Amino acid sequence: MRWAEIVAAVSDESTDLVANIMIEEGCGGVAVTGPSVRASATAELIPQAPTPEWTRVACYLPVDDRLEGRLERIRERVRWLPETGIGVGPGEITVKWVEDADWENAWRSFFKPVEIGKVLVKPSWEDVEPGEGRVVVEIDPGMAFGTGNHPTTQLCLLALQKYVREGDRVLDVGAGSGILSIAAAKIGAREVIATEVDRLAVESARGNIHQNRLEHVVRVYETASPGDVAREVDLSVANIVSDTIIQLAPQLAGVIRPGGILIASGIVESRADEVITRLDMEGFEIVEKSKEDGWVVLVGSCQQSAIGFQQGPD
Amino acid sequence: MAKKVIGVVKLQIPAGKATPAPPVGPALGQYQINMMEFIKSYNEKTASQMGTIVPVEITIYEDRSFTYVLKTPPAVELLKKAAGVEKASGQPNRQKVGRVTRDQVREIAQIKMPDSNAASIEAAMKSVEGSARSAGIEVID
Repeated sequence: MRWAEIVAAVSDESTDLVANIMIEEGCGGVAVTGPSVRASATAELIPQAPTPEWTRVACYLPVDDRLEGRLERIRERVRWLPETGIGVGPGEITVKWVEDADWENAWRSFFKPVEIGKVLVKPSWEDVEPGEGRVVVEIDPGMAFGTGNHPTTQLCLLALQKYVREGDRVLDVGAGSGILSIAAAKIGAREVIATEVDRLAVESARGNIHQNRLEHVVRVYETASPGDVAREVDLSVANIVSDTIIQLAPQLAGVIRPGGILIASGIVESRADEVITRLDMEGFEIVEKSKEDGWVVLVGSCQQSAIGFQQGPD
Repeated sequence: MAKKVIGVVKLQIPAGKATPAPPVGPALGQYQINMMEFIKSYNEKTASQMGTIVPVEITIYEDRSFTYVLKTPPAVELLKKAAGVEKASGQPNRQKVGRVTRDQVREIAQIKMPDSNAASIEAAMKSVEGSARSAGIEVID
């Protein structure tokens, strides 16, 4: 099947009206990109490529004998808009032909097993040899960060392999897909507490934990305050963003046992010093700093028990 | 988690009825994300709004994971519902297809407020009225 891809370059204020026209003339929906479409504010964003000046509204119609009439009506109705007081901008409409593709499955080719130290992250549809000493983490990429294809995730996976001890209690702050929690459990943690603020990510993490058969080890909590669900952990990994690490530093100092480890990641290089200063204030001694591709991971050792923290008699 | 964004796409699609066909397929396919997971989740979360266009803004990260936020239906969609018409006017200046009351405009403006950059409800109402004019829907007192 062939499709006509119809793209209108229009003003922000006319976007919904142009979309409505396209849908009424037979399109199954529209895709909008451009200056009015921005990432949600929660992420620490690295600037994207410059956005075009005008909003682009794209829709698709099957190439058949109705196409010409539909296209003509779309063009005509968009031309009418300025007469009703709506500025459409250039209002330019371009058409090109696209072939039907296997859109549903094409994405799978992007995801190949990734080896990070002895941890092998793989999607469920790829078969791999388990191999001696290899830790296999099965993650199906989806609606949560952490597929193993990002430097911050990889840095954390390396740090977990170095610092998690058999029988540890681990806290994973901002668990995303659950990749780090699953890896920590497979490396030897006896208990993993995962926290996440995004509901979609919580669902995704639970699915991945189930797939790795680790429900008895890893528990996921939807909360912004890890201090409410965890205490006396041996190690905490926080692959979040600089601001959240700074904000959560006192809480983390309170839940990690003295001598315990904090792996802080998701820090852009330019903000590393700021995070180090804050962690230092909270009693963490930085024992390792590594970086890749502009991202920094800090490993801190918790030096002092926080206020209110009572150490056991043994 | 730290996120490097590689793309943001807004889709306006019928609630509960997303499929891998265009526009979803080509719009998301180019970013190589797990489209079926999005489609399943979108349909589940919008099932209660079937019959309406529910826009969704999808943010795609460098590792091909993604997240999305549902938006309120476009004003023109809400206007058509309020006026009880299927389609906007093809010639909005000459041919009116329906009417809504000012109270309905206010209601729609209220629904739209969370997604709008209007400073006040009056400003949001102005914008809804503009959409009504362009759809050939009269606003009556």
